[in-house]
Amino acid sequence: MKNYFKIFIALMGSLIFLSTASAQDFSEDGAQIFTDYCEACHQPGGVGFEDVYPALKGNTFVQGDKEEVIYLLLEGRAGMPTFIGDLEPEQITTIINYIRNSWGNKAEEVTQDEVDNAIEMVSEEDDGFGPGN
Amino acid sequence: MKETEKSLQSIGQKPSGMTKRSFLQSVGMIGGTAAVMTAMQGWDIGFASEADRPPEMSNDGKGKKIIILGAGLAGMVLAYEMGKKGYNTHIIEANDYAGGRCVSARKGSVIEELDGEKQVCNFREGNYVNYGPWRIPAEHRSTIYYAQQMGVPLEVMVNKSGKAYYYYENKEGPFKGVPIRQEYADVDFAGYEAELLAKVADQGALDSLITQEDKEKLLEHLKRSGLIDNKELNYRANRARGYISYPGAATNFGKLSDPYEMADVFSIAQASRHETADHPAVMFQAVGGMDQIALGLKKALKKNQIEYMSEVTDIIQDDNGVEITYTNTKTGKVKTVKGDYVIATMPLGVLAKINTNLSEDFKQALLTTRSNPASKMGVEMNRRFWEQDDMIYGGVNHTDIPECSQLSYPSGNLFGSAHGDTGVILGYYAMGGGAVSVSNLSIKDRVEFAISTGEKFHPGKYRNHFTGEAMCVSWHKMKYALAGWESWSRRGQERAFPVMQKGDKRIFISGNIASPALSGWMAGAIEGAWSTMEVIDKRVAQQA
Repeated sequence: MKNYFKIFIALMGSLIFLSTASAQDFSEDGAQIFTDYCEACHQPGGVGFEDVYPALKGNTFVQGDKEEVIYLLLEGRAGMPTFIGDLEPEQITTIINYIRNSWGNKAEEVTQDEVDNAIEMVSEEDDGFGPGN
Repeated sequence: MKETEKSLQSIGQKPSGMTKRSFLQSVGMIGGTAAVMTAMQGWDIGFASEADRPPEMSNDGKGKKIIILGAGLAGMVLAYEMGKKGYNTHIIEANDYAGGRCVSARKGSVIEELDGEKQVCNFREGNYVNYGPWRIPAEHRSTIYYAQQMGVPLEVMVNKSGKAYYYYENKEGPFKGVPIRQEYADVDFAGYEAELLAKVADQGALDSLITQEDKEKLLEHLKRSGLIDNKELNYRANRARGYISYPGAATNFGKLSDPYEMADVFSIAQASRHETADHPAVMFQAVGGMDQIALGLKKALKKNQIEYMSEVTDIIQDDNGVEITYTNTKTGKVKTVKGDYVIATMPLGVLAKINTNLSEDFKQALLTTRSNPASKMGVEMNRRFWEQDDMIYGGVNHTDIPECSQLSYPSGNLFGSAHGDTGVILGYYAMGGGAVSVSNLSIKDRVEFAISTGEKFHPGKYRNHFTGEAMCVSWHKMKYALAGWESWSRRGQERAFPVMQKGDKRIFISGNIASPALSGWMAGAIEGAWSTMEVIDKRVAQQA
């Protein structure tokens, strides 16, 4: 239900606030999310770990196509988890904008609507029994 | 007389002079499915699922050389089964051991994560923690098959104990920060459900939904559940919930425990895990550690069939074969080996670092998988206080602490009867984001986190009885795993999995990732291997 709930909240949010300006203050929240969820692999400063976990700093993929980066966070990719169950939609937007605009990175900000739409695309039915193994 | 014989006589048939199959067909025609089932059970045929043994391959391998990358369960199953079919199989393994993620830590075991902090296990003799797979459901016949083939004894793994706890500290309510026995929460919830349903049924509120006859049956069922009283239909203290003071001899009739208030029960967050087909209450584990299954497979292979400490750098194919280049991680020596086919069973996150000439479509398909972080911790205790003081024998605590969503009591060495009054608790098992955040901590801080979390359930004891010995892993920080397991996103499963499954000319991908519905399970690795060997066998047969 969690995902449905998130979608619901996301839709409500976008209805009520229409498109409020995307958070300008993503740096502080983003830094905290980065520490909690990204740093273990991508290392402080986003410098990456040897040739195992790529540097985010200066990374062309990170600064490239917005949609690709959004889907990467939502679906995962070989070597990378999905964060759809761990981060709220707003946090996903924040962390994407943070990594695209930190350590010298510069890229267009993603909006909450773009993230919400993508979440709706990839959300899998949650049967309520929780993750496995 | 056996039941089966009776049933055979009663339908006037005898098996003699018929094949079993034709007999079963005739039984089916006369007596329906139930009769067939009775007849089959009489012959001990049983009801095997599709994947309870390796596939019958049509082809003999004709000595075709198969290079297998990775000596985890999938790699070893491939080598073992294809070897039996006349393929020439050889495994290249990056680690210095066989088993991949099917591992247990016991005295002398070493775990070293990417940032180099090295742990050497110093548990007492007999103690271990499964820091890879830890439970096998009865449905996973493929896993059970190899345990039996390799002579590895399995024992019960108690996955659900009513005496274990639920614990929520991030949800407001009367139980915030209070461990609750699972049997209290589960029985109270079921009890109030029964009460409410019985009352609305009794008041006629279900009359538009069910017939009068069914309503009476339902009410009868609810009254007989033992949870509600027959007249007022109220949920009340009962023997399922249990006693505050258990009965004894003479005039000690005991005292039943009082249920929580209904509103309070409804405030308890739903259990994070209900029993499911793959997580039933009773599961299985290998006696002495799950790694025994991997070690059994290793022993079944020929000596030198696995080449260790060999890190693959290149996988290059052409029309005639495929060439693997690898470096010995100890000596630095670079070697190449050629084969007819290669089967890569390493996690795709690891494969992605290797230079290959896979087609672009195939490479992209592999990238659409996701890696699932997983972290585990075993903490050794010098007294089985959870058994002796709290009557907890196995089972799993569920919490809303992301870094410790599960904490599990050992199912082996119950009562300390196997090797003394000591044991290793699975101090935390975290998946997803919680697994990542706990992996940010140093080993020392992780141990402290585990002990302070355990103190929430067993104040004054958990820390006190901790021997100081612990072993932990964050699989996403293990160089040759980079994930607890990998799985497919829905889009990936639809678009990319079919591409991967066919292989790319001479290069095949196998293991857990080849079983999208069983990701992270040993059965996923094994059945993935089985499906790959079938694909290759057909390919070889076509070429012959």
